[in-house]
Order: sequence, then C-alpha cells, then structure tokens
Amino acid sequence: MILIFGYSKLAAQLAYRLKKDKKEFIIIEPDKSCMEFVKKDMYTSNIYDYECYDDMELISIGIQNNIKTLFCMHNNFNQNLFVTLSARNLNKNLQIISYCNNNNESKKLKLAGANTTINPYETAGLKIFRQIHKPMAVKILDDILFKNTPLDIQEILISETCNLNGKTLDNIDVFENNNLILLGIQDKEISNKFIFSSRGINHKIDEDDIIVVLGYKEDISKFKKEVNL
Amino acid sequence: MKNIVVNFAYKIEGSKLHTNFRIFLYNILINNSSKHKKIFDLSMIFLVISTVGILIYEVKHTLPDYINYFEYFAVGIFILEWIGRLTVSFESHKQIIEDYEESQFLNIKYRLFDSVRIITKKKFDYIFSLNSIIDLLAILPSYRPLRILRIFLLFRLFKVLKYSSSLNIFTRVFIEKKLELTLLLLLYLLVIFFSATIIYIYEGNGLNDKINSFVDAIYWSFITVSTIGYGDITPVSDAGRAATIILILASYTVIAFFTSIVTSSIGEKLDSIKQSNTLATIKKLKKYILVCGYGKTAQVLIDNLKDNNYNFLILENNLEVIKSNKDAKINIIHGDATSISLLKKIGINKNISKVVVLTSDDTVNLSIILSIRSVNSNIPIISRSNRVKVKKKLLIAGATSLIELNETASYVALGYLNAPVAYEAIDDILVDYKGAIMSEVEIFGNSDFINKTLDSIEFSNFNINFLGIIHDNDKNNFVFNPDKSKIILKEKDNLILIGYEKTIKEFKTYIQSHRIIV
Repeated sequence: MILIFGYSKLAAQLAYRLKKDKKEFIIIEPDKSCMEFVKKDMYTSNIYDYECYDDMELISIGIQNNIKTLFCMHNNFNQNLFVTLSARNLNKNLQIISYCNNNNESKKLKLAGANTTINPYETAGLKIFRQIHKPMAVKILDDILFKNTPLDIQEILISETCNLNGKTLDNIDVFENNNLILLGIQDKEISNKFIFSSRGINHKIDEDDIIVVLGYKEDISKFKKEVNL
Repeated sequence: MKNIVVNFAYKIEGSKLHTNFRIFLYNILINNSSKHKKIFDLSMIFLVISTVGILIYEVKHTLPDYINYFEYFAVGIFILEWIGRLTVSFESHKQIIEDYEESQFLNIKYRLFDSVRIITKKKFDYIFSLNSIIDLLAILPSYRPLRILRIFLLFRLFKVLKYSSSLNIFTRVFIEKKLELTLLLLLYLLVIFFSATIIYIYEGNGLNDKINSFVDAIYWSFITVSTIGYGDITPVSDAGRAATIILILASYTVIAFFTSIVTSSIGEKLDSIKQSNTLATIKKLKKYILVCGYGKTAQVLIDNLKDNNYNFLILENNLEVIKSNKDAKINIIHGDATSISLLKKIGINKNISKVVVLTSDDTVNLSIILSIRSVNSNIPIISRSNRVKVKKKLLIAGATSLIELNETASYVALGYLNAPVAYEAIDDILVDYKGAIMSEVEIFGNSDFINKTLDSIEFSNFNINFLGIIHDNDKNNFVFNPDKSKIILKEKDNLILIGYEKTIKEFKTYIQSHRIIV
C-alpha cells in the first residue's frame, strides 16, 4: 500500500498516474479546502483528513506494517518534514519520498529520514538539459521506464534459492542466452552503491544483491523462471 | 559634360573593381566584426603612439632622417585613412544615378548641379563631424607652415580612443547629462569670476604684489577652486582671506556635484555597456542555446549546461534577478523575450541551436514561443508548461516539446517507487555524473564501418554495454540488442551505449579511427 500525504498539484498528478497503474493508495490531506480537490478528483476512496501531529493517526492507517511507500507531497515544507520524521521513527524500512523546493530543504528531509527527495524545478531543469545533451538516450530510457513498450528495466532481488546465488558474473551466460543486458548490480558486500557492469569487475552474486537488467518483458520473465526466482 | 558625368556614374556602379574596393574599405574601416578591421585598428594605434613618441623625443633631440620619413609615412597613412572614410561616408555616384533616373521618370530636365549640391553637403557633413575633425587635427599640424599648431598632434591620441568603443560611452554620458553639466559649469565659472573679482578689488590695488592684473586674480581663483592651491599667490588682507574661505566652501560643493553626476551617469550606463558586451560575445559564438527566463528550473539547466561547456544566453525580464547573478561566465541580457525586435537583435536565425522557454507564466511562454516562431520557423523550442490544460495551445503556438514541472516530478516519483535502485542509477547516467554514462555514438559519413554488419565492431574489446541502435531513417525506433550479424550500418546511425567515461572515450576513438582515408 502507498500513502500520499498532502494533496498538492504534484500529488494530484502522482495519484492520477498511480490510479492508471492500478496501484492502491491512501491520501491524507489535513487542509479542509484542499480536501475538496481530493474529493473532486476522486482517484481513490481511501481519504483521511488527519493532521498527523499524533503518531496514532499514522499507526491507525498502518504505517508500521501495511504501508510500503510514503510520499510526502504537502506544499508546506515543515509539515512534510514533520511527517517524514514521524514516519521514519515508526517504521525503519519504509520507503519515504518527499517533495522539496531547494537543496537545503532536501538536506533536512534526508536528515529526517527521507530516502529520496524530489524537487520539481530540479527534475524539470535536468530533463531539459538531458533533452539537449542526449536526446536519443533520454527518449529511449523514458520510453522504457514509463511507456508501455515491450522493453523494460527491472531490478531483481537475488533470493537464497536462486541459481545465480554464489556464482560470479564471468561464469554466467544466462543473460546473453535470454537476450538481456545486465546493467549492473548492487552488491551488499561491497557497498550500497550501484555498480555498473561496464566497469568490468568480476562480481560474485550473493543473496540480497540486486541486479538490474534491461530487456524484453517476456525475456525477463523467462529469465526469472530459468534462474528459479 | 552632363552626359559624361552620368555615364561615368553608371560605369562606376557597374564596375566590379569598384564594388570590391568599397567592400574592402568597409571591412577595414567600419565593419566591426571583420578581422581586417581589428588588424587595421591595431596598426593605427601603433602609428599614433609612435608619432606622439617622436613628438616628445623631438623636444631635446634632433631627429635622424629615417624618423622623419617614418613621420611622413604615418601622416600619409592618416591622410589615406581620412580620404577612405570620406569615400565610404557617402556614395556620390549613386546619388547622381538616382537623381538622373528620377528626372527621366518624371520627364524633366536633369540638373547636374542639384546632385552636386547634395553630394557636397553630405561630404561636408562628414568633414565637420567629430570623427573627421579629430582625424584632421592629427594630420594638419604636419604641414610646415602650420608647425605652430604642433601641439595638436596630441590629438592623434584621441584617434586611439576612436578605435575603441569606450570613447562612445564617455561622449554618451556627456551628451545625456548636458543640462546638468552646463549648469554646473556656469556655477563653476560664476564662483571663479566672483572670487576673482573680490580678490582683485581688495588686493589688486597694490596691496598684494603678486596680483598685478585681473588674469592673476582669475588664475589664483581657479587654482584655489580646484583644491590644488599651489600657494604662489596667497591673499594678504582679511577681506581676501574671508573671500578665500567662501570660495573653498563653494568649490567643494561644485566638485562633489560634478563627481556625482558623472559617476551616477556612468553607473547607469554600466548595465547597457555590459549588455552590449554580452551581445558582442554571444554574436561570436557559433552555436548556443537561448534560455528565456531565469528561475529555479533554469538555474538547474544552466548549471548543467555550464558544466558540460555548452554556450548559452539567458534573457530575463526582471532586473533584480539579473543583478543577483554574480557569475561572469553566465551570459545574461535584460529584456523582454516576447519582443520580436529584441529577438531579431539577438539574431535567432543564425547561431541558436535550441530555445528553452522557462517562465512560470503560461501566457508569457505562449507569447515568447509565437515571437520566436515569427522570426524563425525551424528552430526547436522546448517550453515549460505550468498547467496540463494549456499544453495543447503551446504546441499550436509552435513549441517542439513541453516540460510540465509536476508531471515530470510525478514520473520521477513513480520511477523511485517502482525500481528505486535502477532508477537512481539511470538518473545518474543521464547527467554526466562521475560514474557510468549513457552515450550516443554516431557513425559518420566517412566511416569504414558503413555498409558492414554490426559485428564488425569489436564491442567485446571494450568495457561497455551495447544497448542497441537507432537508424537514421527510422529515428523513433530503437532497435534493442539486435543480432549483430544481421544489422548493416549506415551513415548517421547512432549506437546507444552505457559505459564509463573512459571506456566510452576509448570506444569513440576506436570508431573514429576506422574511417576511409581519401
């Protein structure tokens, strides 16, 4: 389950897209006047008017077990910060994505426990820059990530039972056989940082590593079956 | 006689030699963007400074012959320059042809005298212009009988200023503040005259042996007012000293006023000077990106453009925003991007590769897009749209692609939701972050790989991921990880790769080194 706190314009867009993707989500909007928009757009029927100053409100929605991702999208930075901090205290594993307007806000939100911050000005500026800098690469990636193309980028968590567990990358031809490109790996042994396979380092795949592959959707599912995931 | 002149005028008009000569003159004398003018200006500055140097040297030394010849040579060049400028200032033969044709058209008798009158007037207009007078003052004193005017040779130094644009700025300041400066000058003269009269009345009667005439009094007054005060003439009577005190007080006010008028005026001019400098630098660039509006989004864009050595020009309507920009590397111009005349002045046609419109007001964006389209119909325009509903209108106006802040941000949010690890990694590779980068490598026309299959490229020798290929004839279709033996490379095909900066560079060099040497 996904929780959206604050119904800003960005939140409305997000809700629209989540509904399109058939994802279930909850909206919390403390402000009565904004509540009208929530009810008018009606992307979900799970609506609450909590102010979230009381942790019990978040707990009652299921922040500790039910909710996997929290979007703090309120227009008021301090409210976002407050909810980010409260949520992080209640659930260490929650994915928190918060809205901010500048770098300083971003830093504070990350200190409060946000995994990721989104600054619309920054994302838009970057997007324009990429369109100028690498128009084709951007289009390909955008299409793969957000449009309904046969191609997909997926991250795959290596489980204990997976055939790949314990093998080194050089000894595996399962990616090539399935027409997949291994973009990289997040190796828990080394660091939490993503390592691109083009670095040419021979990695040992272990349990809990995350591999990122690019390929046709059917190939990816075929691959998953083959390696017993 | 008349016929001869008219025929001659037509002959000149038709002569290629003459046209070429005129273009040559224009290029060395007037055209600021020509290389020849720069060289010409520099050599003229050298001539001026060296001849003035000779003038100073001459005071205590006799000149050897070769220096005299050099002086004649320099003066000769000055004269030629002046004649050249006079020639370029007005095209006489065109006037004759025009008048002649008009009289033919109206079926009246052509009168050569009328043309000559107009031509003479135009030429004299030039001769008595400030530029020409400076030139003449630099030439005339070399003529022996006018040797007495030798001091005017110093006017050649003004020629140096003529070759730089700073003189224009100063004259503009003086012209604009003419009223204030005249009033001030009058006040100044009044103060000098007033105090000179007082001192002359009280001390000129023999009381002060230094003040023997009214000229002495004026001289004393002037030296005192200017706060220089040599002290060669000093007042001796109480009345004289009282006058001095008043004089000094008055002089401070006058000087303070003068300084403030000139400095504030230059200060006001400073912005427009900067602006014209920016325009001049931007005109030299071959390719640059025009960004309209300098807000938060633009800031991110500009930072990245700057880091990747793109050239760009920002148009911003808000002076406060411009003033807060302290980075000298950022070319920024104050102006309304919706104004067609400004866009024309910048020259949308020539050197701009892309336009990015980024104001927070959709109506303004629309207006800017239309203005740009009215000047240039092909240039790609990326525009910000602030509402979903206006998107269609911006596209109708002529935007090639649109960015909506919240939409983009919501996609990013979705990306992090669906695949946080992959998304962050991909986010990084698109900005040339220190780690891996995604890159497009184009196959150029002279490449050895053209008409060969894709597996002739030895991808395995490089630590890169080959993702796929985009063919030039089908740009919207990305061919993912194809069977390399079945793809035949054509000119302008793009290979899409992921790799590290170093490996990609190696790969690019490899591709580029395989070309047909003609």
